[in-house]
Amino acid sequence: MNHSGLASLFTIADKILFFFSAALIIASYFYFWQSTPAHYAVVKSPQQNALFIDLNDPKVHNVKGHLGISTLKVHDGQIRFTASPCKNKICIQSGWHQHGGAITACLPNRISVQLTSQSSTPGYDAIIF
Amino acid sequence: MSLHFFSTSRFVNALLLIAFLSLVGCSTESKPVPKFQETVFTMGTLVEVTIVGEEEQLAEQAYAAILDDFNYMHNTWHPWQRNALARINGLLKTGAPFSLAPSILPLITKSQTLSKQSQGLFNPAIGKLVKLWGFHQDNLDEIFEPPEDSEIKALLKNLPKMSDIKFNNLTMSGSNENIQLDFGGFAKGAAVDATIEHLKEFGIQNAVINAGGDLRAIGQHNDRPWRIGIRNPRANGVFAAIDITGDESVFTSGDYERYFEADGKRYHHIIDPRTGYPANNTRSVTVIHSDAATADAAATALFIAGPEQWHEIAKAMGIKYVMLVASNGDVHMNPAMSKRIQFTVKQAVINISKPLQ
Repeated sequence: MNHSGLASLFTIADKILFFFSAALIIASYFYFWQSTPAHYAVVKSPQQNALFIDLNDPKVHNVKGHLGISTLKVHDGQIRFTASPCKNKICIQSGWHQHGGAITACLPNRISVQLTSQSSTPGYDAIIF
Repeated sequence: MSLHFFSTSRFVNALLLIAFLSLVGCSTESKPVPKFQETVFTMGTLVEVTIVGEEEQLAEQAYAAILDDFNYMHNTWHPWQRNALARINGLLKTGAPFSLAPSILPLITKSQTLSKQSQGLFNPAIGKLVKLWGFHQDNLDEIFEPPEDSEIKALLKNLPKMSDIKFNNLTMSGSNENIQLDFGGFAKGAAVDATIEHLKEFGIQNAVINAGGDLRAIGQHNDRPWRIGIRNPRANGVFAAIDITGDESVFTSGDYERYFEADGKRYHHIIDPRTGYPANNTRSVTVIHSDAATADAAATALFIAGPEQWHEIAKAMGIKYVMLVASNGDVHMNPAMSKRIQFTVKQAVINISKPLQ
């Protein structure tokens, strides 16, 4: 079967349907398979009630922990520790976090930060490191 | 629209219809299922427990039970506190036989097997060497200098092995005065195994226990697999992802977990028993295995083995899935692992090894 013969098998409706199906498959790949950015962070500390932070609201949050105050900065949909009374500052060195399911903490100050997407789209259930 | 309009390509249309319906399936919102999630500080790290598809009361009851388990194991196995392990370490050094310690015995016997399989690269008997490097304390920046080379060499001359612990009926004894058990590369995995088994006893079928970035997952998340992100060892964010279904553990050992810096050089906590110094050919190793204790020990052993030896050691330990990021950033994987890993950040060099089985 030559090329023109193959093309003749497809009607205009077939081609339109094929085009939209291909576009839908590609869009679905990016929508469902790529990691999901988080929308909120849940901050827990034994020294105060849990905080529910909107990552689309750029702010600085001071959280009271076991050793003192840790500072969390929210910027451009991401969150990070910027100051903490711990000695090693590993929490600060861990940098920005933006993926749903990610978790970071200042262990000496006993403050944990968990990112969540709050949408039906699955992000990561857990992050290993 | 006439019937003739579609008649020339009925087969193609059928295929497209199937593809379209499967996409409709993707876009359907999952049924809301109960999800219990709690995070707690225990075992010296942050432990996150996720239970899906169970009534809240049962999930809370199971969570309280495994919290007790974690606290018991933390208190019993902690490597530098006054506890059952410290008592055993004191007795092993004397060489005299003493009664078997049921709270530590399973760790010793299992780690003896794993140590032998790893050709001694996983060696929990070198607690004295780990202590010499200053890793037996909570605040690492109290250390400013690595130990003297002469101190390390002196210890290497009579370095203890797990096989230096002997059993005789209901007694055990040590045959090397330098034995000091430190289950830092193993206890977390053993604790995760024990608590997952306890969750199963409660009838829980879908759960993840993530202990400071190492986890075991059972079942799945409602109607999809558990999706696990692997953090980039040298940058922010996630660089790869793995789907887990059934019952599997994913453990990573990295040079960024515990370390101190002296004179601009970083010294991490994974000590190579052959040299006495931190292993320096690897950034991180990720292992998938059925039980968490084996995955934990293997991640440590393969980190030390490095890009040249990881394949041989993984095969000897019966590990089926390994990804190693070398110190130069090259990624090494076995073919089975490469089929499961989805990179979210493009890797410059990926070396696929021969199969492990």
